[in-house]
Amino acid sequence: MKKLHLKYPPLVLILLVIFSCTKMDLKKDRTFETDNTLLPGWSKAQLTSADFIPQDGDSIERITTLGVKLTNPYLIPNMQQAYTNLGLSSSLATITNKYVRFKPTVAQLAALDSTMDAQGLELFDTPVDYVVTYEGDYYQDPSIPDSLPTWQYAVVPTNFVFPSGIIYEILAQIHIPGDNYTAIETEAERLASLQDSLNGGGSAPSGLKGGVQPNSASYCDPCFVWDPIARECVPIGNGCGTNPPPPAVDAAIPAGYIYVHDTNLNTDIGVRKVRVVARRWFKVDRTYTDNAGHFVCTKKFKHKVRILERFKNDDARIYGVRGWRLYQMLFPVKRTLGIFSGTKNNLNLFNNQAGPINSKANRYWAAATTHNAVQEHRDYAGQFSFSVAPSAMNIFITNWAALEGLASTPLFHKRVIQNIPTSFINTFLASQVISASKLVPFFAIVNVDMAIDYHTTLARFTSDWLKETDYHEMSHASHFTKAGTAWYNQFVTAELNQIAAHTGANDPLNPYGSSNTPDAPIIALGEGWAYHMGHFLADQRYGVNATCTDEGQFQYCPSNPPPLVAHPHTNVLEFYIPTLSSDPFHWIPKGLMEDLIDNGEPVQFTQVNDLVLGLTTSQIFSALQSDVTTVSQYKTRLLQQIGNGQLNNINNLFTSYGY
Amino acid sequence: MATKRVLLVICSLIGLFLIFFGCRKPCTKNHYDFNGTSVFSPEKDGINIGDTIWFNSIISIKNLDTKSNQIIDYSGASNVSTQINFNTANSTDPTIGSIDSFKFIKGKGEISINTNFPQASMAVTYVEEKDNYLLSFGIIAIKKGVYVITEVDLENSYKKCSDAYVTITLNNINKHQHYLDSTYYPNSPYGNTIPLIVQTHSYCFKVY
Repeated sequence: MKKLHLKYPPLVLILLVIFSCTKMDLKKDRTFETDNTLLPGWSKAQLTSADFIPQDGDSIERITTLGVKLTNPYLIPNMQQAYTNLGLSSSLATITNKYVRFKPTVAQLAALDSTMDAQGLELFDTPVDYVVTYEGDYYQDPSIPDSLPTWQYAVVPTNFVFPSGIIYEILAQIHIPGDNYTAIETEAERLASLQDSLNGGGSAPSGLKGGVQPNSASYCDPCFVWDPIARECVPIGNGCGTNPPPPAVDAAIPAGYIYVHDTNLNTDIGVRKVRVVARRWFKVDRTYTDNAGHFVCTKKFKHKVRILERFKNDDARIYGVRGWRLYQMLFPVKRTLGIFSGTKNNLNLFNNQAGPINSKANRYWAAATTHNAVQEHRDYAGQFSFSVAPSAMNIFITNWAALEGLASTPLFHKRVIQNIPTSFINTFLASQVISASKLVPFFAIVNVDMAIDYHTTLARFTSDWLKETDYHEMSHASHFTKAGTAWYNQFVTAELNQIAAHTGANDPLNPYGSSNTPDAPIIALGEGWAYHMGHFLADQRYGVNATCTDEGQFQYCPSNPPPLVAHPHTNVLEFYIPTLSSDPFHWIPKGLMEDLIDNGEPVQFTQVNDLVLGLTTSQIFSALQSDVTTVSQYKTRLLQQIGNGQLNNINNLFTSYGY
Repeated sequence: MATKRVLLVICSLIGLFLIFFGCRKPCTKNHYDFNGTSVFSPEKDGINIGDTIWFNSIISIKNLDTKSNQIIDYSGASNVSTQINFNTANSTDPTIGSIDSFKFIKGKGEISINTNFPQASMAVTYVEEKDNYLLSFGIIAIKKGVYVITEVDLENSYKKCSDAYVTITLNNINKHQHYLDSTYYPNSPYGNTIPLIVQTHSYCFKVY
């Protein structure tokens, strides 16, 4: 008999700790990894700076590392010298801004962000006056524990009123030249020996008189001449023009498109109304994309400029659930798109899928897709005459819900409800990785209106899959707009009751419960509307380009054998079987509203007696009034509103659905 | 020596704990698309009262997942269930049930009244036998009429974290669907033509 001799038990123990299982990427990795793989859509030529290459194809959040502190070129004495060197009066170098930093508590962070937002100011986690030795995903001041917010840096006007109660420091009083005087910036940075200004073509030999814009030979005003060394128009003197020429769209003004890849249409579509922030040193510019994803900054950035996207606007803010550095959940999802030099007015920036489902790239893609879905839903509300969802929604995306693709719209934020049940957090937001109690304080600050889980297989991780969920949830929010807070309180309470009663991921009655609970009637009504609209709108957008879809019954694909009509999102409603015994949620009338609208019925398959023709979305939405809390009441109200038209057929249809 | 042994035991226990409870093991969730077949026999357009029609359905356990194009061993699945609808084919309301027009003879698997629609629908569950999931039963006609029987596909047959959809194709060459002409015709509210899903899932016959 052979004996196993274990000579080094402690060593074995250490090995077991390391290799016992695959750890999730919750914690930061401070190691710089030399993975220069570019995401699809990026080209090295586009990223003209070697400072930043996106490494979003994994879930590792890398910390930005800083080197030596730089000489601040924007301090008054240096700026005075810059003006003098360019033949202008040093008295122009007045204090225009303050460079400040805040040290908010967790409780103060969101309020600070909101205060700054309202004044058009941006917060940054990284100080601007240090060499960045590695451009990561975030920065955490070494003096502050990971669990607490790091210093937040900002550039504020001189008359800025600091929010009371928040620790702050004024780091410098600075002068930011007018936007038509980028030559002053160049000279100031040259004086401070900033390397990237020199590399960026900003070297300005002393003696040049009043370097001005625009920065292209073909655009020089008649009174100006192109200086090939300074790479800018300079005045020819002799009284021929002393003011800069009017600003023009030029290579120094960041502009371009921000796209998100649509996996169904296999094309890149513009990210709509997303905030774009450009920053170099203390110069910060904020704008939003238009409906085509196009953005144009207003300020000129002659040298390297950092471009960020932040998924926020007046309609919605997209937050990401996190398992580490939880305070970062209080900021909407943001992403550095790149650091650009040279021509900056023709940027094409992409949100593409990459890596495993939990990668950063996929989080950005999900945020961008959901961000667009909010806008599209608002458009559809106008097109089909139903109420738009409330504005300023707090939408959390996660890949840690109890079941893949789970989503919910409790509108806790809109309804001013602070006590989020633990069962909600465990079911919809973070079932696998972090205890609900740790998250509760953060949701008390930025409260949840909507939770969208995007965890699934990569094959299923498609635009129509996610947008159908987004449209479904946005349609709940439209129902809130229509029926009001009291109705929605009742609806959410009913769903939370059933979630609490069926918490297990393998519980077949998770999340709606059974048909015979007191909560079922309002759940059936609210979900009947939302399931209909989710698929109806997904079909509007994708039609035959949709991927396979299902709603707890059968899966419908564009190429199903046998070839069904190739509209999966219509099929899933039209072929819904309200009596299917193996579907625990067959009592939710997911196909009812489609049957009210459409013509035809595969009656032997569905057992639905549908002779109702041609109601409109507007009509079916109008009956969702504040006092209508059951499907039967809905039928009565609908009939009242349409003058009892198709009375028998509507009665028969509702009977087929069990109502 | 004793200290060494104690250390060994402690380390072993901690090691075992880490192996089994060190972290939550991810459960790989797959969605499979399988196919199965069914057939009614004898394949007659009309039968007499007292005659029996047999229904046989088979789903291979080692089934081709049409998504991945790989053979999957799906043995040991639960909820291999669906429903079979029994309707009259020539009434103005095609949802009128016809369960009471037949007597049922149990074969393989389970068959019972679907309580959600007892007049028209039977809940059925396949049984796992060797290499297949099987379902069979006989129906004895006890009332005259024109009937349509529709087997619904299987949904959400679970196996651990995975689930499967099984599309059932009715293999009868002649499904006698001319009996559905009274439901589907030009300008019919149910549609101008027989929906494809009905064409592939429904079998009709007349009882004289």
